[in-house]
Amino acid sequence: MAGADKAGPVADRAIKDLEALRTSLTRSLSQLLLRLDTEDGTDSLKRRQAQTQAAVYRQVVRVLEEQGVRKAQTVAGERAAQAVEAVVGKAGDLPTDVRDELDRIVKGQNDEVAKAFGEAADDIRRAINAGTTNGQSLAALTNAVAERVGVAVTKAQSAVDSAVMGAGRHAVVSVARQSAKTDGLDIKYKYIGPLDVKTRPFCRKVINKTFTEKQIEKMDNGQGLDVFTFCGGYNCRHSWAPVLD
Amino acid sequence: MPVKVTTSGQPPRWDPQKAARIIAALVPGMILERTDRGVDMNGKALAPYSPSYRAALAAAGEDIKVDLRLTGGLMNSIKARGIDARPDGVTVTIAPDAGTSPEVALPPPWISSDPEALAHWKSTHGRRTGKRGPSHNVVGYWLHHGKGKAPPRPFMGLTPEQRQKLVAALAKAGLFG
Repeated sequence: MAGADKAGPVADRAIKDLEALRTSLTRSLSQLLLRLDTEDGTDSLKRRQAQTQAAVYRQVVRVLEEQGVRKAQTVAGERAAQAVEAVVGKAGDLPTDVRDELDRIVKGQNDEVAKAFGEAADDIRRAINAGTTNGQSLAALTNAVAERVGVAVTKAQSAVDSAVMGAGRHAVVSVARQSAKTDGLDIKYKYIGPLDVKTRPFCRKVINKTFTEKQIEKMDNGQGLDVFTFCGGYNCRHSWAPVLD
Repeated sequence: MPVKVTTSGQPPRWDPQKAARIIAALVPGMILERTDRGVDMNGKALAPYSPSYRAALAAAGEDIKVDLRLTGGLMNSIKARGIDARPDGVTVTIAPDAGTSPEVALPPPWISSDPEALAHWKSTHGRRTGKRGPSHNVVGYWLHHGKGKAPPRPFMGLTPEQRQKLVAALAKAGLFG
């Protein structure tokens, strides 16, 4: 798999970009809050009781959209696509069905990043609403907002990490599936990894058991994620090991 | 009396691409599955974890078996990273990649004997620190060769038995002819 060693550093750059995004977002939102707090305009926090949430929310969403969602999608999406490409090679090297699967992984990850920041907009609005209703100081509000941005970035990071780990799993499994078809090998797949208090119910059921490709294709991990690629779901610690029957 | 050697005919035809494909398909899974059972490439049990590390894993609710796996990042990065298929031989490079995984915080080993302290630690510490660990290929090297007090746990390789199985699979696949 030419370029497979490039995947990791690309993903690391994506994580660093998301960190930089968090810093920039937090700063922008803090500046917004400060401006609202000190200006006596329509959207002033001091006039919060008379003002609906909508005006504050609009400004928060605008900051997130301008700097958050689109940029995060661009940053994380492009980087994850590069990471996946680096793992498994360029389009010409792969059969169509493998390429389609990788495109699904990247698209799914993009959707999760957008969702993380979309949820952040609502969370931030609720935080500001609760803070102003309870008479929180600007510093406390800023901290609350920063925390929610941090949560959004952490979720986005998790999405990127999961996409890259999924691509790694997919690289191993797709080679085995291809060889089984082309070379007539009787390959099955064993589900391996830890069994402890953190193991999901799905993983608990299949751990240390061996399955055919068809059986795995019918599995459902309850997260809407492909089982071959993501095993039990986001941040899953498990792997599929191709084994000879 | 000198011995005269002559050669005639064509060298045996074989399919190096097929050989490379089969090796790339089977070897990563062989390494992963065997390591998960706690066995090294010499067929011996992997060196046990230190008592303090075992206690830290247990306190964090993690599986304490010796499988060289915490987030799964290293193990899920092991794959065929290069293939060189030539008429006279095949080289398949199988290794962890150069990426990193999120750094994981484990509670201090003494804490498992104090449930209240453990509960407090868990409420104030996330499992992930937000930082990244060393790159997978570096961690893999350290684990395989040992580092500091950590003993070697050679896992990136095949046991003689696994090699025989691989050769048998290659032979069954009809590479020659």
